[in-house]
Amino acid sequence: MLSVSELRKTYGSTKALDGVSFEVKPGEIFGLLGPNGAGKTTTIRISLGIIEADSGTVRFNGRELNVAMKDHLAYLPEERGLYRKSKVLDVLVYFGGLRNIAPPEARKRALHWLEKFELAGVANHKVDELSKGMQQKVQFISCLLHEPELLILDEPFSGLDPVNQIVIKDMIREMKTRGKTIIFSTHQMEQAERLCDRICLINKGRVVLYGELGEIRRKYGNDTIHMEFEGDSSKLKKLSGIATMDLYENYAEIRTNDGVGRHEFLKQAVSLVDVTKFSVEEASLNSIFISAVEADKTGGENVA
Amino acid sequence: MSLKKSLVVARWEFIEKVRTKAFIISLILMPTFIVIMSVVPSLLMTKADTSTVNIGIIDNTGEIAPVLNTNLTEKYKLPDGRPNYDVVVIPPGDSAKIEANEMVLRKKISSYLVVDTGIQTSRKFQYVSENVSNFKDITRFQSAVKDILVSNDLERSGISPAIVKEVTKPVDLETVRLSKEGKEEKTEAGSGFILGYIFIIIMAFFVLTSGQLLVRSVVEEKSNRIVEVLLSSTTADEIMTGKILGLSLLGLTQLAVWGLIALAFAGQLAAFVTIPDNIWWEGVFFILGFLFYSSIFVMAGAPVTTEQEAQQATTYVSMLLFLPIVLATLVAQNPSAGYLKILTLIPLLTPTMMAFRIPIQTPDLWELLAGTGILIASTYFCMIAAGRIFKIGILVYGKRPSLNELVRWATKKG
Repeated sequence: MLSVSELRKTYGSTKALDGVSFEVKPGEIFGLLGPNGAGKTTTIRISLGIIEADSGTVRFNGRELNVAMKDHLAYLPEERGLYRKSKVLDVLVYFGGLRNIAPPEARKRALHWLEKFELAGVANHKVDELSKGMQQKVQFISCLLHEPELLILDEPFSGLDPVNQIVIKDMIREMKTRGKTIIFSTHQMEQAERLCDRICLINKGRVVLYGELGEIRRKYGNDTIHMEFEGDSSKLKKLSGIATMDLYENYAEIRTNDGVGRHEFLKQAVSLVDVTKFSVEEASLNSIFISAVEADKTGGENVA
Repeated sequence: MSLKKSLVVARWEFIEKVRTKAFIISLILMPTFIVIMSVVPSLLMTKADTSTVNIGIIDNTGEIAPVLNTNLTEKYKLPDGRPNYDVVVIPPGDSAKIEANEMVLRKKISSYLVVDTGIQTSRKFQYVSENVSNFKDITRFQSAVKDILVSNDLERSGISPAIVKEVTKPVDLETVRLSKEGKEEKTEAGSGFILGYIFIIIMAFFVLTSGQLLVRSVVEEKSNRIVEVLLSSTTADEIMTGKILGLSLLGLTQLAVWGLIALAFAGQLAAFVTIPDNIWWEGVFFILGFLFYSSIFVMAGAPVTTEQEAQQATTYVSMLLFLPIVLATLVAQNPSAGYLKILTLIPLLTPTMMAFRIPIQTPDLWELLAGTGILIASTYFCMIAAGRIFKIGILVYGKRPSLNELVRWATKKG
């Protein structure tokens, strides 16, 4: 579907992208993950032909990206907005027109989607009369009018309350069942964990993790300790034999160094805090994310 | 480049802007402005009075007043045939001036003249009024009194009254404008200047309104990231072309409405303004000028992120537009001065200078052709540069680029 290879982009003296490559398969939900400033948005903009890479290629369905292909793509930028003073239906028809949908057809489709999202009543309202959640839905609809093959969503969950996060999540899942391919970027691992088939983790303009979500977790093994506890969490920093630790107020995810047994670890832990739950499972994407980024920072080996 | 998407953008820009309050206001504001700025003063200055004007006279000689009355009533008539002036004689005496002043203040008379006994040799008399800038009345009274004094002198030196009447006959001046083709057109003196001013004011207003709309629409699209959605559907060139097309269409709508308003007033206007037969050259420079200035607005507007910066950017560009209006006074002084030809060929000044000069005195054909050529070339290069700046500028947020950076963007290929 979409394959990018060896993308490089420099802004002034900062390397925004330093050889990013990945491939998105048809019909999947692909997560483009990474901390803030990792290069996610730059990658997305290049993939959509909004900006040009200094070097590297973007291919869509096997052919180099060109202007005509833009009609098969959809894009929801971060910090998005709409024309505030215009009417909802007019904006949708305009965006449809930009993707070569004739106005009468665009109008028909827009009304269909507005109906579906229970927004039919506001079709002739001005955008700034709508609540934020409603605007989010309208923006999402603006991406769907031209039945794109590939939807690229930049931080679709950022700044949304839990209710609207669910709305967007359901929309993404619905698109998948309709056979669309979806790429979304996020730094919220929980959403990615629940939605993605495959992920690509970027840090400082380089790919540090890439592949099928389940596979990546298996690579991290089944030996991650998940521990819930009560007491002073800072005491846990005294633990020895720890490879990585993702520490919260009453919860910690820990991988021990080779040779450090879990009994030995537990013994240490109970002497420091009151352990209420202890299990050994697969790592969460969040702790994988953190350890991968940490490893990258200290110049450690790339886990990919 | 696909024109289709440019047209989609153009349609949107047009329809959305046509509905804005700012546009609707500009539709009405401009004609009002033009009428106030150019027609009204000239109406006041040259328009015939509609009712008889009473003027007082304190005639210490006793000879001037009766003759003045006959002369003025014979010579100056209202459009309906009644005399334009009625001379009210105020008996001379100690309280004459007090009485006369009182009459002026109570609007019994519009002004009064004071003629002293020595006038025949001193050749001096007074004109008293609340408003002493009514040049039409003043020149008329001056020449009427002068005629009387001249006839008196002539009669005293023994020349027969019939001959005196003959030699003091008034002289009428008719202004005739000679066009390049050698055709003679009767015009009111100064109508070329009025027309020239109207043209450049319309052009400036036209460019400013669309320029501001252009910059503001770019700022809005940048601030809510719509620009990225646009760029993911189409190219920067198509967006820019679409915007300029849409705004041109908007401008044409404006012009059409103004044209209709002008037609409605055509009767009144015709008396003061004669449309020169080279008017279509005016159109050429108008359109080229619009495109040229639009591209400058694109360059200034694309890198801007906030409304405040947009204000500044448009102000700077507007100054470029108003500079030629200042220079227009030079044209008024001497329309055929050599240095004006050089100024006219500076691209930034070409559209307005031409628009101003054409109705006054058509520039030579070589000037018109050179001006067109220079303007086409500079518009072409400006559009390309604007396209490049637009392409980079619309994705720049926050820090405003320096002039150096702008130049680098403009010259960067691809």
